[in-house]
Amino acid sequence: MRFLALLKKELRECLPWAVSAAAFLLLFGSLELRSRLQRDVDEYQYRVFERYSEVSGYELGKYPLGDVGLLVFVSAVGLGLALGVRQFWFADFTGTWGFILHRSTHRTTILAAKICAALISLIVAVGLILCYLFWRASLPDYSPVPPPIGSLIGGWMICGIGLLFYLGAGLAGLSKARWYTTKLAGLGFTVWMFFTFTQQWTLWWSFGTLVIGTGVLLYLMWETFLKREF
Amino acid sequence: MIDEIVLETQGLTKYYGNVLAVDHIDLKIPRGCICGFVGRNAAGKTTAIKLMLGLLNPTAGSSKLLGCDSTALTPAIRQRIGYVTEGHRLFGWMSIVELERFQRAFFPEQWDGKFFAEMIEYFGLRRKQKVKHLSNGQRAQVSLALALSPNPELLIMDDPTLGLDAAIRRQFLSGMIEIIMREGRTILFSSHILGDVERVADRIVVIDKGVIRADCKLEQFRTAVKKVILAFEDSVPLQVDIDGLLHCGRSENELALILVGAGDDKIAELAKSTGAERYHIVNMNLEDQFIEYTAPTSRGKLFRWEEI
Repeated sequence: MRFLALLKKELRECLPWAVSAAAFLLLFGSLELRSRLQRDVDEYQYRVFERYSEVSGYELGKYPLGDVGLLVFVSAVGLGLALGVRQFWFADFTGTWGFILHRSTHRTTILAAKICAALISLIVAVGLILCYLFWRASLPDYSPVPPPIGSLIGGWMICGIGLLFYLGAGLAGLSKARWYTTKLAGLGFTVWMFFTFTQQWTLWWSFGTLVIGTGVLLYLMWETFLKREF
Repeated sequence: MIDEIVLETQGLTKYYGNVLAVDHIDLKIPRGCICGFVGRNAAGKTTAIKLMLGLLNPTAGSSKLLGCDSTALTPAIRQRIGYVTEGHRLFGWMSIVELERFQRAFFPEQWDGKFFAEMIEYFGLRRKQKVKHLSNGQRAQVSLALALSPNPELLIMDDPTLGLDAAIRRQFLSGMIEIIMREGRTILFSSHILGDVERVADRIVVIDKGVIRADCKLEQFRTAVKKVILAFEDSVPLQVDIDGLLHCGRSENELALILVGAGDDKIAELAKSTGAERYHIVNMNLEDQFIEYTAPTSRGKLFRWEEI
């Protein structure tokens, strides 16, 4: 009951950002699919047979969903950063930490509700919209050959990059160091992990990088949140 | 049971970098006590309260609320403690009814919905009003209703009447009195407004530059801090020697002394020994007493209550 109350509150606070990201991806993704159909049919005919097991996340944009990959990246990273700032920086400005922390629950529950809300927002606002675009691109009226599933998996991994940026922004928000010292270290690590992610040769390696980066940031955020002064 | 200590600090100290915010605070607040925690700006009130609630970690010392160490307050203990934050920071996007629903989830068994509704009605608020559309005073009222409705054993309020006008403050204090009337409830509230403290508190803790300067019954403080005017026919003496002297102001033929703990007989004796033509004790309200008591002393050191 306590967790649900916290989750509901966090989801409500994430809502404007999630809706904005979903609207952005839906609008520009649909436009991209439409224009892609006009210009790239010939090129697409041979690309679709490439081996998607060797596609890196960064290359998603080159495949049949066109520049949707780039849009997914922009939406996921933008949403991740916005949620990180909203949840962990904004409360400092509004001074609501005292109200939220002094209640009959553990700090771990409060943090878990925040992370779950961010995850749900990313999944719904970016992941599900991506699925919708993938489905649209798979319809016969879009192209005779449906896009490969690898592009969808890659897209979901880019949603994972959004989570990485969320954790990085949150960690930076929780840090009490000065901005020119280690405050932004969490975001720095996120950017580094992102570039590492794009340098991998296969989706599996990209996935591995994502899991390691998320794990490290999650651990650091957990520790920081439990010990931090508010 | 009457003497059960619900809030206790021992050598509680907090440094922010090199700045000493709270300096070895020792407090014992018994159950049923209404304690006014007063101090000037940046005296260390908010820091001390946050330390007590475990929102800050002490540099040294410890504090206990309801027998539980502040750095490890369990959800069960927090459930028994109400907290009104400084500035009444609530979620602006929530309406009053949403706030109630949110708060109630954390006090499923003890939430008194009827009391909350009565308080909201008493303050003349509409339940569907968004917090962001409320004035500072209205937010304070909602904040108080939220803190009181779970019927907490211990209520800690950080400057709850800050920025409120006189009428709203009076209403707010009436709300506080509601809980005071409930048996065995303990309140610690910090304030700048000494009139509020005088109205509701039975105990006063004065903090200055992070140091507890007085911790006693309000009445004791009221009778202990005195202003005495000694009038002389000729020139005033250069030195005055009496225990508990805080300040000594001179004019052409008058000495104004601020004394702590000096009895009337001692004052009469002083007047006689200094050759004063006459003397009188000035009636001071609590605010005057507080200002005089916390003003820097001419002796260059802080006066501590234990010295009287």
